[in-house]
Amino acid sequence: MSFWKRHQIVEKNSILLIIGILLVIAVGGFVEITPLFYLKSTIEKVDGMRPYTPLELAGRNIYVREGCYLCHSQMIRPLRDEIERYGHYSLAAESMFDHPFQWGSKRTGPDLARVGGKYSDEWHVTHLVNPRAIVPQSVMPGYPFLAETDLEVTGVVEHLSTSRVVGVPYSDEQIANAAADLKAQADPDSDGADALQKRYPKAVVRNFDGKAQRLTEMDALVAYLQMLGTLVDFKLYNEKANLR
Amino acid sequence: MKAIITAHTLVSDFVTTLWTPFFVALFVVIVAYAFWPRNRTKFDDAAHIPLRED
Amino acid sequence: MSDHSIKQMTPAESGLSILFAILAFLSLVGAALGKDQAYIFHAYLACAASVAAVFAIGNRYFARPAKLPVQEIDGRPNYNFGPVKFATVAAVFWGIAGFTVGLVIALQLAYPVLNLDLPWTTFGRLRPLHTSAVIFAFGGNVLIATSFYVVQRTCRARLAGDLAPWFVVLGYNFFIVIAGTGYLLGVTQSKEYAEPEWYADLWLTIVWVMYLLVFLGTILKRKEPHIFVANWFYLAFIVTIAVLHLGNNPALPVSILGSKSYVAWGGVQDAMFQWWYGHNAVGFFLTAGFLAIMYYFIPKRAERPIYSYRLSIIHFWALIFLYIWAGPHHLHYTALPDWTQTLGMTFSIMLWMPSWGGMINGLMTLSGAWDKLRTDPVLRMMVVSVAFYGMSTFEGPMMSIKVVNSLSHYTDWTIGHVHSGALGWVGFVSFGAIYCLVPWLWNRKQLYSLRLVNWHFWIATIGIVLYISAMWVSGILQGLMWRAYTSLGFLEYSFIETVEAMHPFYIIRAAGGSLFLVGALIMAYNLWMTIRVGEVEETLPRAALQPAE
Repeated sequence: MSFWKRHQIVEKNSILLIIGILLVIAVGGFVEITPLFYLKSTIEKVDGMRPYTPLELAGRNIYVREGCYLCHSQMIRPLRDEIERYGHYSLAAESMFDHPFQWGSKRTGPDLARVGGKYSDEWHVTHLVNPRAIVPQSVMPGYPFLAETDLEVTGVVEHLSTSRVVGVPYSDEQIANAAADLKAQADPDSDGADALQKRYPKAVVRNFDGKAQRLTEMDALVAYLQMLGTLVDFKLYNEKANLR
Repeated sequence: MKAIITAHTLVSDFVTTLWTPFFVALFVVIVAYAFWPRNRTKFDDAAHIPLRED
Repeated sequence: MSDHSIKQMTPAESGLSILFAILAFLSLVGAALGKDQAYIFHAYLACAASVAAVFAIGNRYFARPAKLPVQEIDGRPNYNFGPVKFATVAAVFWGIAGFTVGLVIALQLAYPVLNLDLPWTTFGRLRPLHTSAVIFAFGGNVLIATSFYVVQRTCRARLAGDLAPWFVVLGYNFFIVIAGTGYLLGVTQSKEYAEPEWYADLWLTIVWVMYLLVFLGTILKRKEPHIFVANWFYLAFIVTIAVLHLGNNPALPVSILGSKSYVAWGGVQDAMFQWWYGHNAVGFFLTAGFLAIMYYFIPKRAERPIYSYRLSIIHFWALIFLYIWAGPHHLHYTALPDWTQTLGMTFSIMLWMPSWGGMINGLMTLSGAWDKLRTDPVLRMMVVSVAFYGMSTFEGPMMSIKVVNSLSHYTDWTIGHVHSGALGWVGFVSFGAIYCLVPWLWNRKQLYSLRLVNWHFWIATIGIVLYISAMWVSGILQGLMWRAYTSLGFLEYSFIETVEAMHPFYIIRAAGGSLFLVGALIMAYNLWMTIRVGEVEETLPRAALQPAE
């Protein structure tokens, strides 16, 4: 029986090692991550935040797909030069509907957290097709194919309802009208534009890519870029109320 | 669900308040274990494991 | 294990064949009904791989004798080195692929015309390909190869499982193929170093659990009473990566027939989960795993025991405890609450201590045998890697200090820091381990040419120096330019002026990277010649111990 006894100790030791490892690594996560879910001060109270419109969400998914976050941050730090260069520092609330977050970690290109409304749609389209046509020294890749690719419109309802499951507060109405809203936002002459703007305050309705007959990936991406950082009105934002 | 949340609150309360003394103690135990005189031969032997050919 | 010699399929063989047959069918259904091209392509790949797996298991069954390989021959362990060999070759292959893609994207930043403006060739899609290829494909295969080698040797036991080790090695490499082709097709979660989508994540989870079981199973049947410290580090790496992977990746697919999913976490919580994961991928994948290599291969190659076994125990616990806290230093001055940032900074600075403890332990192992550095370029490579480890683990805590970080964050300094660790530490210690492993695994007296190792060492070292110094200069320069003010109180430089200023450094960086790649190609040639024409080792009985496969 001595073999059996010995074997048991051996078994316990390597299992003990695993338990020890798990215990030791669990603490850091527990202390740092879990309070973020229940401390109210983590996310500020602000007015104006709303879920993305279907077209903006589609554009955001293109932004993710093309790896834009690898060169562009969406997180303005509260440092003097950044505030002067990019605008008010980013609030946690401004990315609370972002699954996944797009804060980024590198600025090969400038921060985009408040790029919305800074340039015209035409500027964006020209720049995305060939960045060096506008900024000769730019090292950004060109994305001419976005203007040539029709936006995938099937499954838009599922995109919204999936987002709702992971915590984005889309209403039943928003989900039910997702397909119509997707098309209406790039078509200013359509009937759906007013209803869209009621469902999504501050949503911009324009023919973003300049091609009236087609709904392209360029429409979606520019719609997303043009809304970045525009939802919270910082003239009304009370910084003191959210001191943490 | 409520039970899970309560359990989670208990665990995170414990961890977020008592982790410092707990880990200082644990660290002391590990250092003691590593430097305990009786363990010396065991560790010297273990250090030679890669060098023993079979 | 029984004595009757009627040949039968083991439960693993029959079970896995059936599972793969079912998987082949399901993937075919997925391919038929899939909603996007990438998903359909991956479903076909999975189908082909599953069919191949069924055939491979069948072939292996018909080729093998009735009895499974024995655990021991004449009282010596009958080591299983087949999967180790595969992972070693895969590591060299993926290493060269990953370095090449790295060179391409470095050149793209210097000459943007190289993006070709096609969907599959832009920087945004190639960069995850580079990082995953070097970290997970090259580094991962090195870790699997060395861990399966070291755990057998230091436990004096044959690898647990018969098909399981092959499942781990092949399954892991299949994950790499799915991940890599996915990036090119635009399939990404956009979480850095965790880009693969939900189905690849699920597959990796299965492979990883099997990896843990094989590793643990081998430890459980060990003949050495003590678990050697390298195995502690391997175990911490395997267990923690599993926890991190599960914590960071929960996501809900939009459709089970499509590649897109939405991550469960959002905004600030997602950011914290991501960098808890991201930094500990560095801490446990690129540090703990490779420290295990240091703790086995340096003593082995120097033929001396580790400097202080006691220090290695303290090193182990202190390192894994402190590392897990360091993640928030990636989020300084962001919308993450200040208290979290401060915690992250404090622990990052404390991390300096165990890191240097480990470095001292590795370097001092050479005490009394420093002359070997002159004659053995492989040992020199590993020792220099430990020196690079010391350098980057000093630089890291420094960069985690908030004021330093306010300058360094978002700039190339971070890239330089990562590469002093990745090229200098992970790269060199891996090359050293591979140079040791190949002659051992293929029964060769020595490497084909130590002179070529010497060339590799010097060319790669010059490459690293060019790379990291270029990134230091460009990073600090860019950080200073962003915050420069004129005497009238205006920002001095537009953003594009800072981009323009980076150009010469991007060229120097690409030059450094190409030298590193040339070094790796020299290594591949040297290893190839070692296997092909190297003199067979006859004195040791290892030849008799080769497994049947």
